[in-house]
Amino acid sequence: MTPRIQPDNHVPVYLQIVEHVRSAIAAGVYRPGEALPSLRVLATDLKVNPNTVQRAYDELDRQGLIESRRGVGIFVAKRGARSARGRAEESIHAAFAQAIGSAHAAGLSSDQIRELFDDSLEEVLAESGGRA
Amino acid sequence: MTPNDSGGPAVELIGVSKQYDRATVLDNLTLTIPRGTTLGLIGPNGAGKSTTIKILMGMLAPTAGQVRVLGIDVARDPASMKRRVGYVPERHDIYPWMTVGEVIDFTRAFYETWDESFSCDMLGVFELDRRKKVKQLSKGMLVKLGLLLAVSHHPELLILDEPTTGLDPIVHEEFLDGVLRTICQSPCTVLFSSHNLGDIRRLADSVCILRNGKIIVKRGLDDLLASTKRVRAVLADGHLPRWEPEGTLWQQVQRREWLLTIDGFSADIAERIKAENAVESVEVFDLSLAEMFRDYIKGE
Amino acid sequence: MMMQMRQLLWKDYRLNRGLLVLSVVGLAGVYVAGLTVEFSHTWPAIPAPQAWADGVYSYGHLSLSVMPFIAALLGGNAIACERADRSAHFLAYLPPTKLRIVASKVIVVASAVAVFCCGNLLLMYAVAPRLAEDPADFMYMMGSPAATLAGCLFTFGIGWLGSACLEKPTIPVLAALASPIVLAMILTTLAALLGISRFELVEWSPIIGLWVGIAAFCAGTWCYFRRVEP
Repeated sequence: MTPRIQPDNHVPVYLQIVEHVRSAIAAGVYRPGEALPSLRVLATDLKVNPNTVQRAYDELDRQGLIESRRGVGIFVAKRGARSARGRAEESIHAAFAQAIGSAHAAGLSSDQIRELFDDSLEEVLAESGGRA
Repeated sequence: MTPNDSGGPAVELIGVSKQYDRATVLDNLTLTIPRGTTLGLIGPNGAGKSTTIKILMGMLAPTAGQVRVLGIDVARDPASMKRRVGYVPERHDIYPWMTVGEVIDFTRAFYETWDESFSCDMLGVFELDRRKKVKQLSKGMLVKLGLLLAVSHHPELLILDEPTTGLDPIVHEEFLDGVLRTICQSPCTVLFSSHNLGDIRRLADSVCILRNGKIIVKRGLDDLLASTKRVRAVLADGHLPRWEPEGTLWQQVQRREWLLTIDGFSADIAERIKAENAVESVEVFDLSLAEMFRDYIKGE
Repeated sequence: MMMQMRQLLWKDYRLNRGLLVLSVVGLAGVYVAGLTVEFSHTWPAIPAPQAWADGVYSYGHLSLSVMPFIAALLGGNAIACERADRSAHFLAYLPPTKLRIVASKVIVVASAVAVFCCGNLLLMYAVAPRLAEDPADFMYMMGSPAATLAGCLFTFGIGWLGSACLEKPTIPVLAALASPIVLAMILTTLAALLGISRFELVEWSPIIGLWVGIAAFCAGTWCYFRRVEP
């Protein structure tokens, strides 16, 4: 899957690429140990400067999601999937914490918060066709 | 091929000016492009983009200043510079009576580094017919031919002057593909001037904004986008702004809304705006490249 | 280097091909016209070998004298033809040096003129004498081959100078075609002012034409090298 890079978006292109690769790894499109597309291939696919792709891969390497082996290629790190999901989980955890904090401030009890959560979960699952 | 200095910048313009009678097209321009980077040259029409490029290619003589391309003084030795540079002009003036095949054979003779298999590949990818005469080619095919001729000898510097203006979306993509194939194939510095901000976003590492023959800003693109912000401050009733931050590029007051575009924005600056002016609130927004470009040009 | 020159020569040949074909037709046309006239005198009988020999020799001489006008065409067209359709701009950002570009043009024109002259001279001095002994030249007033060569260099030089400085070949070609007449007028006026006889004038004009032509060619080449815009 190669979603188009959004040139009008103010997010730097290399970060858009980082997010695209991260979510692909988290979803299991690329498994740990598998090779990622080469610099050239990704650059031509996304129609961006290879320097930008390099920057994205450097950032992914720094985050521990991928590792590059000289002369061989770029691979998903062994802990890559977990790190990828971990990052997603981190931001969701933060969002939950914020919502729970607001709920407490509004005076809801823990049971009420849990009930609210279950209702919301059911709603969302019903809408998206139930992916557990 | 004698490398003049493989470590130096790809392009150096030092104090370059160009004057026609009373009109100053370029005003003491100084610009350096490091090797391996891609620079996007942006500016309104008449800013001097094409003039700068023609001076780089030795097709116009500057009124003052020095021009060095790949370490070579363009005025002294244009021929050896041209062997290492690929150029795609805004207007294609290829011999109209030649066929595509004849043009390629003609051009190939002048470059030692010509890669025939790369050229044939591109011919196939671009779907150009060798037997067709240049005058029979559509604009899109002509532009693709121009690119093929410019990149088949693996230039160290690729110069593109408004390359995608007037191209239909399909040819536009093909053209970008062609440029990317070249960059990926061998290390290449690219200078391109464009009105198409999408292309700038995709290809450029850094941008240079020109206006009235002067450089307004030259910086890494991501850096520029990250550090240039739009600020909306709501002024207290009956008050006008008293103090504006140093990097203010553009501002406007409408009713109680005070809009500013600030270069080099930081949280401190937001604090100072609140402190020095009678404002009730301050909000910060990111800018798209188009908005940022407009504010750099409009401002000052 | 050879590949470069080969392509440049091919390009300049193709640029001038139309004019070259026109020239061949014109030069051959002189023979065809003249010999037809001879034939018409003796119609329906075929002219005697002596008449043929005289005809070939004389019309060869006439054909040779047309050469300066061909040189004018080629000179006037030389550089400006590429400016007219802007292909000079394309060539300008390719590597070949101005020296090579100019050399290619000069070689193509010089070769063409040489071939045409040799063709005529061959017919005059090799073919005509074989048809009959001692062919007569009733075109003797056309001037010697040496004078013709000087004339070619003169008109070519004027055309070349115009072509190097202007954007289209029309004016350089017209100027070059008119140049022998203009030179004649100038020299006649000078002769009258200085009290020189017509006879001496006719003797001196080829030399003057030659040197003016060479000077014009040098000036044109200098202008072309100095000019930065294609």
